[in-house]
Amino acid sequence: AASASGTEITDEDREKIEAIDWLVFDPKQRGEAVKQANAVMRSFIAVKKHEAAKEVFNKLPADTIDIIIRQQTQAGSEMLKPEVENAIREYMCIKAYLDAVDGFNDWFTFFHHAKPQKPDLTMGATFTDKVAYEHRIRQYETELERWRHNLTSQTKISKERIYNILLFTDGGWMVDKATDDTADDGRKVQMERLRELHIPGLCFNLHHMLHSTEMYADCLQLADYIASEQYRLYKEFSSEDLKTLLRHLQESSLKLLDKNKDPLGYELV
Amino acid sequence: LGQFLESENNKYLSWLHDINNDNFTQAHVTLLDLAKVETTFLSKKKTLLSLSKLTALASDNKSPDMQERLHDINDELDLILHQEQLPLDAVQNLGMNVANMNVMTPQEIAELYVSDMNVVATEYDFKMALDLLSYIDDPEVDKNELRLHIWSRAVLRDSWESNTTSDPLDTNKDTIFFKTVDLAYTQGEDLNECLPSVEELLESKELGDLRHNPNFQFLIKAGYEHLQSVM
Repeated sequence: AASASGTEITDEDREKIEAIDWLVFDPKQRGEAVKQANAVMRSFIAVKKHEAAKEVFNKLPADTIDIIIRQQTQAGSEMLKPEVENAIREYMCIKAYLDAVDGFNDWFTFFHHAKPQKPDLTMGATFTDKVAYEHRIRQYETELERWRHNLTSQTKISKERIYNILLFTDGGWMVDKATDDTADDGRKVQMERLRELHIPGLCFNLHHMLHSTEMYADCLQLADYIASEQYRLYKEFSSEDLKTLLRHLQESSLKLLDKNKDPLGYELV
Repeated sequence: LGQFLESENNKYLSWLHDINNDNFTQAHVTLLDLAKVETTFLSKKKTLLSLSKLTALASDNKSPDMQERLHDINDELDLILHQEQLPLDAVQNLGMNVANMNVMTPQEIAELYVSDMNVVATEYDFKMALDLLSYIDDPEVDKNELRLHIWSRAVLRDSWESNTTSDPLDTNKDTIFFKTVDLAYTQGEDLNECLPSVEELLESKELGDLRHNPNFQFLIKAGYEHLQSVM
């Protein structure tokens, strides 16, 4: 598992990001703005330029979807055009993805860098050194307890955000719902590629997070979702990816055995 | 070590060793065996089946045997989904904890869908019970009898009282029985196969005194006649 990669925003990226400003200027063009912004974000997410994608996302005013729907109703139509419906759904998918990335990065930083350090007692310490040390140890234990508590809630948030993507409603993350005859194939291919690219990675991140926080039984349950025919996540895994995943799950099982549980976390009979 | 792990007692560990040694086909077979004998925890059976499926897919083994076992696993997972979708009330009324369910047989799940414990059963619950018939492979179970039982339970959900002036089809369309028929029809089921004959139904002992109620007989016959025209 890896944290956010050092993917810098280049001048060319900057141009793409700023081009969105022209599209949001006129509220009548909000539908088009979402479509264009989605296309730019797709290209950034494909190369893990998450910061750049977030900048594009933030260029779209928060009321964008409301405006699109209101314009549709004013035009007297109940149903959104399929291409617009798909664009809105994709926008929600991208939002869920950026939230999950943020959640995981926050967790990663908190887990690896915010853990309190245990104070050392140097060799040949004097009596007063020892008294001061006792005090620091008590302080350390309080801080550690607080850190564990916050870690639990950070893990919970981050886990939910990743599951939001894995179990994305009505057919899956980055999968269109409305049939659109005018759709361009390039977009469809890019969306499929994003699933292949990110779903295994998100599963690995989720496993890493659950394993590091000793939620081993939850690690094994990840297999239920990946194997499910309802979500078909396994289809995004190459056989190499599946082997890697199974080795990770095996490691979690071994940890459960250490805790005198069976390999899936149930009590031994 | 390999031999030690092969023994029946240590099967629950051997697949871990197999994964570690890239022996995914063997891990898959063992996990499937373990899933088949798991009757205590539904969630445990599910995870064993899921892991068996993933090890199968990781193995790159595309033999016909493997395809057949994968098919088998998907059927078992489907059955688990039927049990997981049982209405919360029905499971609780049975005294089970939803998060900690035992493994039920298809006939037990069907029975619970149509029993009084499922207080607010709709046509979807009755249709679900009918779907479960296809998962039964126990030769001891008489599927026709069970099918008649499910439809009889559907009949008993309504009182079949109507004032004589109204159109029987109008009365029928609000009954669970005919709503279930409609649902099965829209889902593309062959009604000749999934519905008992009108004689069979009217002779179902489970219906008790209702069988002899002329109003009920009239409504059911009218409903079946109407069905003949669409079947």
